[in-house]
Amino acid sequence: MMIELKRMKKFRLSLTLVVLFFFLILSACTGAPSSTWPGVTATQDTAYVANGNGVFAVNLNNGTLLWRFPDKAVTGKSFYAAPVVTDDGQILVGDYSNTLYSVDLKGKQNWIFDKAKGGYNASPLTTKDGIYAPNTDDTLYALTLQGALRWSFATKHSLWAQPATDGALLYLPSLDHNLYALQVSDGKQKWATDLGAAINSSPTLGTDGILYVGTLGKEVLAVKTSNGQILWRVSTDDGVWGKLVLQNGNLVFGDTSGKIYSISASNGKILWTVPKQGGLITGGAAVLPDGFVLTTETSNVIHVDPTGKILWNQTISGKLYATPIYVSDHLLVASMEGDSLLVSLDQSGKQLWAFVVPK
Amino acid sequence: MWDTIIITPFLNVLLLIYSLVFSNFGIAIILFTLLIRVLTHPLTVQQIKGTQAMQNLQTNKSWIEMQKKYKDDKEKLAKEQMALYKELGVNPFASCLPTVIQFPIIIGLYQTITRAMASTPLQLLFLEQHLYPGLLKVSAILPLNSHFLWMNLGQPERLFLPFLPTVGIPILAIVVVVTTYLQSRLMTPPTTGDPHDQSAQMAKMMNLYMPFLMGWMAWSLASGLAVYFVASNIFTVLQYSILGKVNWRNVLPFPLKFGQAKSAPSSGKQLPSSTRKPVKKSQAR
Repeated sequence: MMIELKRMKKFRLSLTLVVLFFFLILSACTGAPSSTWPGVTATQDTAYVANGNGVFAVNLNNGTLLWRFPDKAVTGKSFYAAPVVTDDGQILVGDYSNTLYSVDLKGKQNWIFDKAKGGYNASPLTTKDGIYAPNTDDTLYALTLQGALRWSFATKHSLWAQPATDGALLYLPSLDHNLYALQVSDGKQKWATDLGAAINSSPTLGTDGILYVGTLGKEVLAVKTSNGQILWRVSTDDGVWGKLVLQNGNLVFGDTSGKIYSISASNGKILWTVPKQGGLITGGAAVLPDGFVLTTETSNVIHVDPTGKILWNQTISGKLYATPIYVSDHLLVASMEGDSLLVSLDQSGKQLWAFVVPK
Repeated sequence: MWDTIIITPFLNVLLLIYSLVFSNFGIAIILFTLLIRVLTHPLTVQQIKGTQAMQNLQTNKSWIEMQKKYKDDKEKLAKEQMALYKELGVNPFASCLPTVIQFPIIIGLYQTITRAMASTPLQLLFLEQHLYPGLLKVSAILPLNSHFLWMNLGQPERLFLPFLPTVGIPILAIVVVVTTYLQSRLMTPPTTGDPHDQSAQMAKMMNLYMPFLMGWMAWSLASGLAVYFVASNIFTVLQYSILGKVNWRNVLPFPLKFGQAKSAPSSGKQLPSSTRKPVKKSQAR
């Protein structure tokens, strides 16, 4: 009888463990991780990269860590949107829960804005008068430089791209397929134009009252800023995720087929293309003195000249989804799942330093 | 390989259904769950038959005698068990093999629903890159409309009432707990009353643990998964009712004829002749 009881207890314990193990497996298998690629920005002497549980300030000269924010990782807090440095010395960064942080140049918190209901997938836009923070709760929040709410504007789906402004109007791209023009002063909508597909990239403003933007519908469009009229649209091989670079009247960008394009800003005519050199391209182009640099999912860093000729094609470890940055003779490339988080190259593609997040 | 064989096809079918039901992701999840249930129905039938056969065996006289006779000789017991399985035409794996096959399908379904509600750029990129261009138009379908009733299917569900604005009530998690409990109880077969019946013990523990574990998952994960759990529980009860395997007596105070499971019969089939010879006593010369 005792032996039977022991056997039954052992059986129950085994079954409990099996059930718990099953649900552990199930919890682990419930889908893709809620992370994405890092976001990077830089000033003349410091690079700021948001990745995972922190924002890291890196010395541009030697790749050493200056500070991290927060000091210690906080459960449930993750940062991926590229930080933004304001003219008055604040660093703004949004996390994946619902908080926009203002941090000083030494990594100490100034203030927070936590009234949003979703996370921040995109960087805020800052002007001398305010902060415009697009959120995944479908709403753009306009704040003062001290973090107080001025107004908000709701769209019909998430906001994943930084807006652009010409001072009078704010141009807000949304995943709801619309590009909105809002008055900077009070957020009132001036116009909204349906571009036919989700817009995941920040618009590029030209000097002649025209803006340019790519969509996930495999198109690049030119839109008149005064009334939202579409002036031309050009088909691409695949979705356009990165911001278009406007240089000397031409737009340079890559798409998720891995192709690189240069098109005329005046009429959308394709001037040249560079066939796929590696994997897909999601970032925008960095502008160098002698051309442009784009990066691919398959670790390629591709430097092309203004005629589309490839100058060099370097590979570094990891998946390169983020837009590279060129500042103070450093080409900064942020990597996902690579040996290092941030790599600095010179104009010839030679590595200067690599930053690894300290454990 | 997992993505190619399971996730990508599941994603495309789910999104095809979504595009056919006026971009309602909640309805798409429910219909997709129903489709998976229908396609795996033959496996479910096989599983039920296998479980029933094993259950019948527990009350078989030959089986019971064998357990007593060889309780101290595991090797002999196993051998005799296999012989009896063969004689009675019972496949001991018939009850669990369908579950093993369905397990990756269930995991695939979870991952598909989670990935479809892409909440980060990386997830949206994955989604965009895994749509069959001939079947679905990216520009029309992305991003998905994740709102269903009061829920955002990409976020854990909470209902905020006007008079209680700061306290979110997890309605769906509660529904998941209740439906999981009801499903477990309704599918628990009639017991033999034997306190040492391991299958009855197993059922009792599953009835206790499953609702809480599923409820915890519904509370903490995206509400799209919780919609799947509820739909799956309801369809499972309907499926078992149609097969006549539901035990309403476990839940209702009165009998209900529709789908009622029958009690396990007791089979008196004798052991094979080789094992029916009595043990000979040693004889004096």
